[in-house]
Amino acid sequence: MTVDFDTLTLGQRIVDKPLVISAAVVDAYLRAVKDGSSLHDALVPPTAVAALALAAVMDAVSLPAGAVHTAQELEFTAPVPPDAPLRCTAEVAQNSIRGGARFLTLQFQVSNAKVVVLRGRSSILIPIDGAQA
Amino acid sequence: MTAPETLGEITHAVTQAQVDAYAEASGDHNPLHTDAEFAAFTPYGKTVAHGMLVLAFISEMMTNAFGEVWASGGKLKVRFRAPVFPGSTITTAGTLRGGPTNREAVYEVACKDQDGQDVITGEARVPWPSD
Repeated sequence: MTVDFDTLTLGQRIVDKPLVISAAVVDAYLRAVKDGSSLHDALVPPTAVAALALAAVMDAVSLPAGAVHTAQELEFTAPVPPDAPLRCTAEVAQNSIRGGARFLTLQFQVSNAKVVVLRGRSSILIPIDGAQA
Repeated sequence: MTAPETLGEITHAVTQAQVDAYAEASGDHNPLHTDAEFAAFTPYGKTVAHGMLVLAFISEMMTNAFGEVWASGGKLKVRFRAPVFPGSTITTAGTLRGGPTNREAVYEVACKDQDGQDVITGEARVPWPSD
């Protein structure tokens, strides 16, 4: 899917989908980041929740190859057990052009039932002249 | 209870196998991270580790220091300063900025590569009981 970034408007909802993080996914994530904390025997690492939510967000906007993830804010508000029925939503918080680049900020939220477990805000710089940087 | 002045650093060597594993685990399959032929035609010239992979090292440091408190009330605000290439060795740092105040301990956090270059800088906030 190709997104016309000019059409993205502030507040536009770009993701609203379920997200389930199984114990197997947690294991794979922990092996990948080489995190051996015993805390994660019962809880999903908070950055795993963020990573999977962010992947869903990035998938929704189909960022071009030259896009650069420049900044990230995360707020972890509640622990998440594996297999919790999460829901991820995301919207456009900034979409502006200056100096030959587009500055896109996407904010996302993950909830477990009605409890917010994570808030995030990703800043992305996209070269204005096309998909290849 | 006193907030620690510095946090125990974490050091990880970043490999392409790790980046590939992270792509699978996270679902972020941007070829910049995993496809050497593709990455050769980008400004970086080679594959780059996911920023969120490197950021996980800071979260690991915070988890080691604060346990479940981090997972249920921690905040991160960082900038990705430089790309991390497979073959790099990344070390985290965390230093208490001051306080704790307003029921939070605030840490300057960073990831540096093997040359001492900052690749991530920012702050982490963790809930801290008031006196």
